[in-house]
Amino acid sequence: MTDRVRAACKALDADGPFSRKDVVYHIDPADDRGELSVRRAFQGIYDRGELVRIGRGKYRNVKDMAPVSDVRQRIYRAMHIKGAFCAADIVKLADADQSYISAVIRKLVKIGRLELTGKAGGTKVFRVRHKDRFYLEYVK
Amino acid sequence: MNKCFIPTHNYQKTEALVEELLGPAMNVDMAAVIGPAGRGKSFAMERIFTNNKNTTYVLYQEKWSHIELMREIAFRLSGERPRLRQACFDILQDEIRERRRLIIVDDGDRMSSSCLNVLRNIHDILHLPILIVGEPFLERKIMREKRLKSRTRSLLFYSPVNQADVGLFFKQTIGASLTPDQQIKILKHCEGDFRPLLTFSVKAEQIMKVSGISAVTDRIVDEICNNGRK
Repeated sequence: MTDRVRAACKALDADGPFSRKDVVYHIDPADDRGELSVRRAFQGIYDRGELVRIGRGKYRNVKDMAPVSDVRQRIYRAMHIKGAFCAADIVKLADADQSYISAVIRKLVKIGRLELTGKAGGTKVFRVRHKDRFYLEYVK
Repeated sequence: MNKCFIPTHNYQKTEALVEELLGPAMNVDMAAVIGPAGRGKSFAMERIFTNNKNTTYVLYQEKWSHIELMREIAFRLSGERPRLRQACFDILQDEIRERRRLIIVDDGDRMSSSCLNVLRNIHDILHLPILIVGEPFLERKIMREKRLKSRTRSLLFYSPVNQADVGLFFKQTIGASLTPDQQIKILKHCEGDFRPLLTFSVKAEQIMKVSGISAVTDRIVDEICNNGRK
């Protein structure tokens, strides 16, 4: 349901600010329980900061929801499952190029999703800062 | 030391099992991967999760109740952790409409009977394939209950690391070729597990670096096998 609500928000956002009701109409759930489920998923997305409230009952998307490449998706999944890792650990799991992995790590460190925890024998060790948030934003 | 992945025969069998479980539902879609610690079960699962979008991985934490397990599965599939059991089921039902996914639960041997039966409920009600991973005690837990036993499609036992795996591992990690005798000695020392093999290769590389030689000699193998004892 969360994915459907997210997709609806993206579609509605193209025409400007939208309300919670717009999302419910867009998904058109079969019964009251479905509507409750849509509202709950919408609240979850708002709580995670993917939407921003710009006025009374009006929201906009703040997250770039462009589809990521398969290799990058594998790298994100490997980072999530490892928790704390060095670039070589990700190479082993995701079969991606080490220089590309290092570039992805640098980008994620810069925006605060990963942090450097130390060096082990000349190898930098990183850690996912908020595991759940990382999972929702990059893996799911 | 070069960190690399060795697709062992155990990994290949696990990959085939995952593909089989993700195929058409047969209502007997539970399976278990069983093996002692150090055989590479968890690593194989991590790699399968990384490379297969239709899988979801849950690491069972000690003393989790069945509700906590359900919440975690709901979170992995939908991004929400509802408080109530029924809400978890509703959310899961909504989620799987779009895409059928395999739920991998690691450290399954530490799960209580009620947690195993929650997985059975998810399998029965939502028709989702479940793969439980754990140490040999898991087999006894599954066999104890006929309900679980009859729903288990296959039990995959992780066999010990073989001679070919040892040779390939040393070739790819430290670039050293081993003689068959050395492989047998190392295999005996490692007792079929991957972790001792890894520590063995680290020690061998250190000795090679210090003494300035580029090949693994019989003396190095004997010294590590005997832990420096004469």
